[in-house]
Amino acid sequence: MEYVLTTDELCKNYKYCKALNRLSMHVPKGAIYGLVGRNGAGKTTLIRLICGLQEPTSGEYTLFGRKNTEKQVVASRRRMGAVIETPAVYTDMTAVENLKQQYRILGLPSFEGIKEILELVGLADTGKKKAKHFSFGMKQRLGIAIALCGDPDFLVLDEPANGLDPQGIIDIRELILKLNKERQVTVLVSSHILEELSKFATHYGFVDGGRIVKELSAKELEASCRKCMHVEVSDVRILARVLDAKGLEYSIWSENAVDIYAQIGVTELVGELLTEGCELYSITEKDESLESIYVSLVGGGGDA
Amino acid sequence: MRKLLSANFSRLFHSKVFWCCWAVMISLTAIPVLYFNRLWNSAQVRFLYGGDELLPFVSAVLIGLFLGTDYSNRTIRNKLVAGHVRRDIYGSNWVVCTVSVLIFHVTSLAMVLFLEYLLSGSFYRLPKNLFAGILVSTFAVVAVSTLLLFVSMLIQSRAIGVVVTIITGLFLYGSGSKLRGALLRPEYISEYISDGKGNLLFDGNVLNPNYVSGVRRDIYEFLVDIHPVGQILQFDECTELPRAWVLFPVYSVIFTIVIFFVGYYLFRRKDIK
Repeated sequence: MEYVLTTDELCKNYKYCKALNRLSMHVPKGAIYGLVGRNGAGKTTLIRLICGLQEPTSGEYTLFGRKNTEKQVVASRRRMGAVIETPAVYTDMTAVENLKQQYRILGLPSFEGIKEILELVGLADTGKKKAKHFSFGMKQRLGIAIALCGDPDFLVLDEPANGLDPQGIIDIRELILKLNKERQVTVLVSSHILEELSKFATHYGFVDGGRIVKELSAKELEASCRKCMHVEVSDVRILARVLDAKGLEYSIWSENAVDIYAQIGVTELVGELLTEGCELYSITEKDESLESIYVSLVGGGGDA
Repeated sequence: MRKLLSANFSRLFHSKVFWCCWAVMISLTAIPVLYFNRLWNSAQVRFLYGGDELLPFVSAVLIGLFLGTDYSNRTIRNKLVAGHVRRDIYGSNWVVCTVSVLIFHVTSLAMVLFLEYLLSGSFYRLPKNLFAGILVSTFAVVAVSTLLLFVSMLIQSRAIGVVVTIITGLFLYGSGSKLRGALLRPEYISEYISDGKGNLLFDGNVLNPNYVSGVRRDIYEFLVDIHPVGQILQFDECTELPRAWVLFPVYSVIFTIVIFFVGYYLFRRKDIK
């Protein structure tokens, strides 16, 4: 399989912390790779390294077959576009002027294609409005438009849906899918919105503590999502006691909700709960979600 | 680097900050000439290079804001992601900042010479002195620009960057003036005594206790010779050429090269956010 990006034991130390700790990952060509991890896991640091903003402390990465230590890696970098954290736009320029500036930086011979890029991201009608008067969502789109200048083969987006309204999130998703399907652009997307990511990612990399905990394709993820019974009761402690006695695997979601990863007789369960004085409100069958897999891989909430 | 130069120059000449700074520079050069001409009926005073004394402040504002914008808007990332190396980014910024400072320098010089000729019908200085002054001041302003670039490229906050570059400009002017002022103190000062009726009577010349002499004077003279603003100030008041003025451009070139490469080395190692 051909990879656009591979990293090998990448480390990045700052003065007071170790942001990346021997991170190894593989982004296949043509994939939409979802980088998933909690705040402070190392997603943005990884993106900064592969975009050339910072040098790794140790380890290496390969971009389009060229190692980061080679001088020719700049040629590989010209094939990528990126939006890292906040969109990088000149706030005293209009959308068109921003793109013209990026065209000059790329050394493109003419300003052909600017109109099409702005139409693609939905900023064709901004006219003479300067970027400082744009909403956050518009700035985000402009940042993506700048990343698309020069027709990149590899697009890196750091939490592109951050701060967007639901329609904006849908638009970004459809844009990513369109670029991937129509232009065969490989996309690396980091995100917290797991449910959203599951709608278009073809591969996943779970990051925790500065390293990749697991890499999966979407198919592998689907296969590993276990069926479970979602049970809502009046007292989850009683239910837990009952399930422990039966030796069944479960996970508690709240004071009233539990997922049981086993086949269990409903009649028997109801009977035992009634005996203990616990009411059963509902039982539904469902697949294990990306969220529950994520939690099982990287642990519960909060920041790293 | 050609692509970066194209992008930077386009941004510079579309920048309101650049044109405002240029207008301020021209005004601050012309107004004193016109004022003192009216006061003393002579434009041929010390203002031939007056504009260059102000140049560290005006340049600091322009360079701090121009380069700081790249950091505050995070647009420096676009250049790195596009495949440009740090050497080209630093080099192109140096070229653009130096050209903008030279534009200020040349136009303010031209303004002063134009006003001098307009108001008095002639040039005060001999052609040789004029040429020497222009040569020295040109190299000196390039050195000033390099130092301001060095400071600005290492600070990733626009607000802090502008403040620090202005402080650097103030320091340049202040230190140059102080050194020059110390060397201009007379060796002897006149002493006066009162005759008791409210009149002051001359009592002879005495040694000035603040006069800089000996090894300290040698050190001060060396420092003022290598100091960019010190070089400019030495041409300001004198009708004679400063001693060893031929070495001034050499000092400025060495200063420029050292600061440029130290700045580039530090910028290359910097983690960009």
